[in-house]
Amino acid sequence: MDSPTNKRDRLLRRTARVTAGAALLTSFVVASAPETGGTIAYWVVLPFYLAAGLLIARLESGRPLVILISASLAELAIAFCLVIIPATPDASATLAVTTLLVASASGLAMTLLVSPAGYVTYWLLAGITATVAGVVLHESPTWLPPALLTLLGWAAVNVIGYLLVSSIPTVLRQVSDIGAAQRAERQASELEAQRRQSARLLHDTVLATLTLLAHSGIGVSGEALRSQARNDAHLLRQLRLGEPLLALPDAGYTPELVEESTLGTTLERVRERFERLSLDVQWHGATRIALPQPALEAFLYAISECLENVRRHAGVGSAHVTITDDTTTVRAMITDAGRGFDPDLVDAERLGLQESVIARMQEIGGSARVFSAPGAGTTVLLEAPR
Amino acid sequence: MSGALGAGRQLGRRHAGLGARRIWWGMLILVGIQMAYDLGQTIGGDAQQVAPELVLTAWGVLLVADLAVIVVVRVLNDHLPNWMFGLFVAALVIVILLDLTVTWMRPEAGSPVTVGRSAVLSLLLALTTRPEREVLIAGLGLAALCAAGMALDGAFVPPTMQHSIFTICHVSLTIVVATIAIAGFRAMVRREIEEELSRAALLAPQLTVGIYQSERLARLDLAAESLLAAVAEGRVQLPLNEEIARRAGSIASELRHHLLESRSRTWLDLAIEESELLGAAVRVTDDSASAGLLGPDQRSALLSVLWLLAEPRRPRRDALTPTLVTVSQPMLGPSTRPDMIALPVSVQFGSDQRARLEPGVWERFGRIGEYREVREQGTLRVDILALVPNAGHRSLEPR
Repeated sequence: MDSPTNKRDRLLRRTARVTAGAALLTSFVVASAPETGGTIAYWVVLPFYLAAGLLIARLESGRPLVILISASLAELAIAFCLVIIPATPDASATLAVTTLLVASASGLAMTLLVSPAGYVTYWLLAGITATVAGVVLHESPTWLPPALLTLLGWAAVNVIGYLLVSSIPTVLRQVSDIGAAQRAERQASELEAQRRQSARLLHDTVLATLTLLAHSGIGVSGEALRSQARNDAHLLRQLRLGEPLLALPDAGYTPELVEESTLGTTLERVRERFERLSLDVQWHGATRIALPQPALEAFLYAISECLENVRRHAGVGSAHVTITDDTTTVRAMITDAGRGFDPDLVDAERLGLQESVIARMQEIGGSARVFSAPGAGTTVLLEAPR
Repeated sequence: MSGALGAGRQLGRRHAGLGARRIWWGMLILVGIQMAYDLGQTIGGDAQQVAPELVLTAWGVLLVADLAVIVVVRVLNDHLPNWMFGLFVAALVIVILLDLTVTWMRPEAGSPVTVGRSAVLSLLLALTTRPEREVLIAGLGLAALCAAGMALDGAFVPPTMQHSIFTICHVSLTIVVATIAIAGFRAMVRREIEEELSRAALLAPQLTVGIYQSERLARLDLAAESLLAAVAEGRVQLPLNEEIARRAGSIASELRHHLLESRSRTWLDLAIEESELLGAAVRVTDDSASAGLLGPDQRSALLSVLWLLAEPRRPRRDALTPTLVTVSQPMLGPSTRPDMIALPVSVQFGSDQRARLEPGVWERFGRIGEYREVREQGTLRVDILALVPNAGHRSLEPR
């Protein structure tokens, strides 16, 4: 039922239904006027009107050919009864019959206008109807002879049907063009989003800098903040202009191992950042972190988030980071000798650990554990599977 | 990017225009036939003997008004401005009043309107370029004007009664039929466009961000960049004043929110959220964002089902109970297929949708996976077990 043919047929049937229905209604209203209204002929055709109306109403849902034939027969019966039963048909009977033959029957036959054979049948029916009109209507309600009027009506309906049917393929083609444009747009946007998501580490330093700015930059030297802002603005600009930055995986969704030299640089960035923010960080152990790109970013992010916590809450100016790795796991231990806290009393969420560190480490299949006590400093152990 | 997106939105608003030109040509031909017919009646009748100057003026005004609309619609590329439509209707009112004056001047009661009939149907020239409701109201208004004028002339009593009734039915029902047909056509085009647009979401990777979110992220980045650049270049003084600090804070929190939120969306969320029709007809529960695991054919089949069920056959929006789609966490697949995992998808139909469960719907369920029908408490639910490749789904791998 999805095919263009079905869509076309549905639209045509819907239009045929309202056209034939409206004409039938007009015919019925006219027939109800004096003098035909209330005569024997009127009561005889009443059930036929009802039947034709019900059939036309079902034109969309039922079997169209069966309905087309039975509704046409009902209308033919109305036409004959209205002109044959009274000795001399009056003006309202003539007008009612003309309306039926000119507009309602043609409206029904509109459903045929989908194939060459359908057109032939349509015009055969038009000829038959015009002949019937010529024979049964001895006087015309208008200045045109009944047969000619009938052909004119059928021609008008033909025009409507043809234009409806022929517009569908064009419309569907245009719609599919719009769809293609939308797909291209979405793919571009997907790549773009992927690129930006991949630059998570970048965003995270941007976030940290923005947060510092939100506190008016109090507590950090102006020069350090400017330098950090310059660095972040430069990276954002590179990202916007589509220049390569850091180690973005190129648009694919598969994680790939990033070259060592780049890794060094990214770890280096974390160091530089905290140097600028005047936190003295002592780095121990491995100088490289052997993780695939997304995991590496999360790992580095978690480290810098822990260092940020030291800077803000520990009340000391130095921290130690120890990085070790074996065949299965990469570990980082972030230690400070600051004021510490009671992990049971202080909500991890308040420290931003839950969302920023623990969730992020879990996302890459790793874990984060916090050890601390008031006055005894804090240690965070990050583990990520290789 | 925003330019292209803007164009897409504009297309969405103008979709009534798709295919409109052909239909407009059809309306032109119909109006032409009606005018030729009425002109014949005017010439054949005796109206021009009573007040030839009025009859001539009426036809003149009608021809000028119709030509003006035709030229404007062609020149403005299927567009008819408000003021032009207003002028057009006003001109048609004048034509009808002139025609009615002629019928009143004639000695016999209830003479037929001729050019007045053409005037009402001339509204069809504006059909494709105006909202259908406007054309319908204007058309019925003009028909009522005709009816009132004819009633004053005593047209609704025998022997001219049936002709008068016929005339009024003819003009008003033609307008009604035309507006219903164009409304159906527009609804079909709109639905086609929405379905086509929602299909673009099928290509999304397992987890994705929508076009709007992506655009929003880009905008946030730009805002952050200009703020940071201003700080770096010393264009703003440190420490920051309160307003700029607040702006930095709001960019930061939006960025954070965005980065967290945008990681859990699937193609199904996007397809439904970006279509007004589907958005109203479907509710999705997919806490684990597992819909992203479905393969291309399974996605396409599921979306087709939702579209088949969302088909607005009857304009009873209020009565429509939404289709509920639930995607659960993946389970171990059948033992015969160790390389696959099973994803339970269930679709619960609204009570009024059962009539629409045609073969096409079941065929598509079959394309998603093995399905069974569950009937409970008068509702029908279809539970589907979709098999999807296991590779790359970390959480199911043994730790």
